[in-house]
Amino acid sequence: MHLREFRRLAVLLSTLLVVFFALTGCQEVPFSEQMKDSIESYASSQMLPTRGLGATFAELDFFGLTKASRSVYYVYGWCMVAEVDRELKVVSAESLPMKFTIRRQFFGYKVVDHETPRSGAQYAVDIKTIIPAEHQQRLFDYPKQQTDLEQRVLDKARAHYR
Amino acid sequence: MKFWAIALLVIACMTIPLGSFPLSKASPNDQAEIRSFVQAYFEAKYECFRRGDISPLKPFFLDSQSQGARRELELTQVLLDWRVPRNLFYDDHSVVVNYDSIRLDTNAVTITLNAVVSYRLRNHRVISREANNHTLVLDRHQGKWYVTSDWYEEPIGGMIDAGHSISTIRAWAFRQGDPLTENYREGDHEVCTSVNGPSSLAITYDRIKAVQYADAYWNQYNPAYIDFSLLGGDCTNYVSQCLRAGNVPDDVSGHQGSQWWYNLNTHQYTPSWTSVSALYNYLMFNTLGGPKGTIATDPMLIARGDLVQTDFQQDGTWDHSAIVTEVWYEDTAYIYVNAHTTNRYRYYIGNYPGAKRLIRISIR
Repeated sequence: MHLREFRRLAVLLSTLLVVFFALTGCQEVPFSEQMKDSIESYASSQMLPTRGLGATFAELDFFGLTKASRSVYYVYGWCMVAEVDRELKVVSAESLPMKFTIRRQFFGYKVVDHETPRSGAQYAVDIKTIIPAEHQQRLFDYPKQQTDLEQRVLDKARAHYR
Repeated sequence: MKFWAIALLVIACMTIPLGSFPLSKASPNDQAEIRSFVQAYFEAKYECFRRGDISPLKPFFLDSQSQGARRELELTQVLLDWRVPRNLFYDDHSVVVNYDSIRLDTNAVTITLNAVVSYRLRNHRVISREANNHTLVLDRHQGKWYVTSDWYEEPIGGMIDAGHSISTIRAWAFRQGDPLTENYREGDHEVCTSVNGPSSLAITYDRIKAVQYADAYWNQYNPAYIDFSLLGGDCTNYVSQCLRAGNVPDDVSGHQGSQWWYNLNTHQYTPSWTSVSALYNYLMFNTLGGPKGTIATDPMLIARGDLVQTDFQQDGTWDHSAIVTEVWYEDTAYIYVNAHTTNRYRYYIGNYPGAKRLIRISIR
């Protein structure tokens, strides 16, 4: 086999491998702004029962992502959803650990499901089943940390009402 | 002739009140000034119920320590103390003053009038009207009018007149928690119906402080306390902290099963501090000091600072505690709560699944 032919074959094989991995989704998918936007858009419309006093906004602090199948991923994080009125006053809100199931589409991602821990006595039990072990401690520590989650929600509201 | 002249003079003197004459005899400027002052006074009086403080009323009294001023300011303050935790603020209002009689002396005016206030409570749709007969005494000082006294029929005013101290009256009023709330309906917001108050003082549950604490720490936990998220949930620990912030004293009386406390130094605590059912049992059955709970069968009896517990599966195991942070009183009471695990702010309790029990809080 000539060297030229060998090179051609190598290029062809490399290209096929790249195409194969792209199609099967075997490559590592980093958490992207596109994913975050899809999740926040979903959360702001699906999670909080609103009071009809303002618009609803969501912000996510990302903790981790796992692959469920070829085009389906689980995203873990802490999410705050708040209904904010025109005077930029929070009128209703929730802030909690979440697991989102997202599916890659031709353009972008779509959230197809979400899981939250139940309240009260079932909270810790549910977190242990919903959130992978490597993220659990971070989620338990989260409420005692100073975060800018609420500020980011208010920034969104400010931009919305401007 | 001389006799008749003297007689006529005496009769004339008797028919003219000395130093006092109807306002109609006063100059048009005085009339307008007094009417405008009275209108402004009543506007300010009801503005207090819109703002939630008595500052609009204070400038109308020259000496806030005078008997008349104290009666009105303290009376308004007690009414506000009762209204603010229940979110019973005026949204908008208008006052019409109907004058019965106005007597003008050299530097003082005594007015009897009927003031009709139309108001709508914040978040309420219905416009209510309330009328009161007032005897208003005004005094002029350095060319400016001030209110000397404003007397009208009012149970709390009656207690003030009877010489009870304001702290006694407030303690009494707030111990009447349920009847007070029960009596409240739109258009009927009398604070109490009896003037037979007790004379002993009591610590009062400061619902405003409890709610302020609940709002401050709903999403960021107070690091002074253990976070019980991993230890069965932090919800009851959070509502216990709120009660403590509302001046509810720790209860170290009796045996440990009937206590309620948290030691910030050692981080030791009683089960009633952290457990949904233990807190409930403590609130219902403790017989000594500390907070006391009663089950409210009617949501209209619930005010900010009270508690809600939930049994999600309706299996008899109560799972969750939350504190009431907002109530809209309409045809029924729409109750919103703050909670930990999961963290919620102004969350409508109807969105929680399962059975709920409403617990009215007082201090034993």
